[in-house]
Formats: sequence, structure tokens, C-alpha cells
Amino acid sequence: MGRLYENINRANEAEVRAALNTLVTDGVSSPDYRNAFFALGHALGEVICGRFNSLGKVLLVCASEDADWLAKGVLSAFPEKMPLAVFWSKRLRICDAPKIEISPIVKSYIDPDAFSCDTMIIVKSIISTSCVVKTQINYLVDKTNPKQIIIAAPVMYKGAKSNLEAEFPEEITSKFSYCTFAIDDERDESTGAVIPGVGGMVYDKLGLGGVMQKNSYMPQIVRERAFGKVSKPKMACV
Amino acid sequence: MVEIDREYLIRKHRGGESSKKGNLFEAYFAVYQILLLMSQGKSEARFFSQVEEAYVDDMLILLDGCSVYHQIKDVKALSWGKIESKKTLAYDFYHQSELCQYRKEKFLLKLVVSSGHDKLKQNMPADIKEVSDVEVFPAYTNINRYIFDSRFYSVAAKAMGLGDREHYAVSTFVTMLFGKWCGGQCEGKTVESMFLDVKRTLSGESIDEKTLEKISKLLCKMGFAIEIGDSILHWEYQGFGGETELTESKMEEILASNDVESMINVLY
Repeated sequence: MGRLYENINRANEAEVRAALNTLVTDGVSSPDYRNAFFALGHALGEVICGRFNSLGKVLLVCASEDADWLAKGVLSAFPEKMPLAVFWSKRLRICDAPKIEISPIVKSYIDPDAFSCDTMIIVKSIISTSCVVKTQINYLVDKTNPKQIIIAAPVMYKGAKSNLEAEFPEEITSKFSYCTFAIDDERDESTGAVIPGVGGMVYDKLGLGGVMQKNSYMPQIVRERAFGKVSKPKMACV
Repeated sequence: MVEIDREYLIRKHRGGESSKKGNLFEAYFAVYQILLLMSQGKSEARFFSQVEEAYVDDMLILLDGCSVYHQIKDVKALSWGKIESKKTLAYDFYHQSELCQYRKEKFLLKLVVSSGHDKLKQNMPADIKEVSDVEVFPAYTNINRYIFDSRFYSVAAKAMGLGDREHYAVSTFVTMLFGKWCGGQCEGKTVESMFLDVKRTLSGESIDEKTLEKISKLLCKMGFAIEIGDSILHWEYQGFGGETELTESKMEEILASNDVESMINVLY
């Protein structure tokens, strides 16, 4: 049982390790937690820029709770502005045995020029069951036809890649590449939380409240892109 | 007179029940059949899993007065075996046929397999050929993979009234239906009511189980005879009776009623 590290190099080691540690620090403040995700997003973006030669036109895809910090961090590593797709989703447990869950999308924001991309980067704070990422791919697969799909997350559960690939046919999985910093092999089966993972429930730690409250949060980056407004991010739950 | 081997059927049923949770292939096929019948406009078909007192017992579909019994197998190198030997497909199909004929049922027996379809069809015992069929259904590792199977997708999309490139909508609906089947929530229901149930859950109109339990307890305590199905409360009380749709506001009103008369007023 433990954590395996990937994509850590001399240039990013100190920053990535510090940020990963911040995520799992007891009592971490929301601003520190958010900053850690921004730093990890930036570092993921740099790894992607360095690893992939020709990304072409890139679409960045994320969940609403990841937009203002993790996804913004990824964007900051790229010199050019890229289209963005943000999804708000809920999670429904339909059956306990076998465990069947879905993450229906309740809202979305997609930049108008998003659909003609060569590369789709799906960024997520942590990939464990792959349920959310699977849903986002199901949603976008009919609307866009990228040459490659990069799935990026600071932390992944050890079986996440194979679980995700099992959900799709080869014509789609052949486009997949992954980018992560830490692979954890332990999970609390009662809560589903990866240990140490990202330290627990992401929305809560980001200061966005619970599952219901986080879906009423409008990320600043969406606000800016949709309405051209720049204002202080509003907290759904203080 | 047909002699039923009850002990054999009880053991078979118990075995089927205990393996049901792990046997996702049966559930994938059931979901496909629900979608297929909906796409064909046969929404009144009714589904049962692990049928008691049946030799072909994995799934039963009642449609237009005909009982279609299914044995569903995701096993490589499957064979019919001999009619004389228990625990063989031939034995089960032959005895099911005999039982259905004795009961004067209009029926069909179906063997659903993931492989070996041609051979099984070719080697079907002569005694059951008239009343049996073999169908092939692909075995994938999860429900999302079926969404990307063109045959499955086109049936699902047609059943839902969707077009060619709607994988997200199909996946969400089908996964929900699959979950409800696995959770035993489709047992004895019609295709139409299963569709309605999935739509309600997805749109957030599903009834919270705890609220339902509170309503049931309250009404029973007051002496009402009730039955709840598909968000409809069927109730009776000393000559009164009716059906009430359990909307959010109606449920609040029911829970706020503290005597029989006001409850009847709320239920009407």
C-alpha cells in the first residue's frame, strides 16, 4: 500500500510534492487548498506541453468545482487561450450490489469554438471510479472528434485507467493518454475516498459546500468567458 | 398430468437467486429486451427475473398473452446435454415445454448465449425444436460498452426517440435502467412503467424512499389499506377509495394530516 509518483522532474518536484502534501494536510484552509490545485494544474499543463509535441487546437474540459483552480492552473501553462467546457454534475447511486452510479450532467458551459479541437484535455482533481470522466467523454464524443484525449489529474486511483478504458471501444480508447503525479492504491470502501488522495471531499475543502451547493457555484472563469465579467469569486458556502 | 420435480426447481431457483447479483450478463440482456420492446411499441410487456416453479427460469416476459421463458448463459463451450439428464439445458427446456403445454400456456422458450449460437441452434434436441429458439447477445464488461455497440445503440435510441449521436443521453438512461433492474425495481413491471420510473428518477421527480416509508406508516396507522406503485398511491378506507399521485406538495399535505377525515380530504 502506498503512493507511486509519476511525471515528477527536477523542475517541478518541490512544487508538486508540496502541493500534494497541502491537499492531504489536516485542517488545510480553503485558500491553501485552492492554491495547491492551481499549482498542480500549472504543473500538469507544463508536463503536457513538454510531453506532447503537436497538440493542435486544444479543448480543456473540467468539472465546475475544478474550473477556477485546477483548470485555471492548466490554462496558465499554455501560451494561447484555449476553449473550455465546464460541467456541473450530480451523483446518483442506483444500486448497491452491484454498485452502480451515474453522474448526470445538470448544467454545462461550452465555449462556442470548442467543438473543432484536435486535442481534448480532461482535467479532474482526482480520478477514482472514472464515473465523471466517463460521463464527460460520453457527452463530448458525439460533439467533437479529437485526435487525442489527454486525461489529467494530480492524483489517480491505481485501477482508474483500466476502469475507464473498459467503458469504451478501442476506437475511442486508442486516443487516450494520461498525465498524473500520484497513483494511490488504497481506497476507503465505505466512502469511496482514495487514501491519501486529495484529502477527502474536494468541494467541501475548496469551500464550495456539499454536492448540492457546489452545483450552484458559478466559476469565475465561466463568468468571465460567458459574460466578460471579472469579479471576486462568490462562495456557495461560507 | 405432468409431474413437477419441485425439489429440483427449488434448488435451481435458489442457485439462480444467489448468482443473480453476480450475473450481469442477464441484466444486460434484460435491459436490451426492455429497450427492444419499447422500440417496437410493445410497452405493455411485463418482466420477471428468476421465475419460481420454472425449469427455464432466468427471465420471463409476458406479452400479448404469450409467456417467453429465457435461459441466459455467458458461458463458453455450452451444450444442450441429454433430455434424460438433470441440470442440462435439454432437460430444463423439455420439462418447461411439457409444463407449459399442460398449463395450456401460449409460450416460447429462448436460450440466450454470448457464443456458440450456430452450433446450439443446429444441435437443438428435436423434442423442443418447435417451441424453442436460440438468440445471440454480445457479452461486454460493462453497460457503457453496450452503448457503443451499434445494434444496442440503435435499439436504445429508437426506444427513447433519439437520433444517431446521442451517446450521453442513451448512456444515462440505460445505466439508470440497468441499475434499477439490478436493484430488483423492475420486477413484474411493464416496459412503460419502467421507462416512466427511469425518466422520473432522472428528472429528480422520484420519490424519496424515506418519505414514502413515513407516508406508508402514517396511513397504515390510521387504518388505510394502501399500495404504492409508480408514484401512485392506491388507497382504501371503509368504503372510501381512490388513487392519488404522489407529488411533492401532495406528500407534504399527507404528512401534515393528523386525522382520517382530513387525510381523506387530502387524498381526494
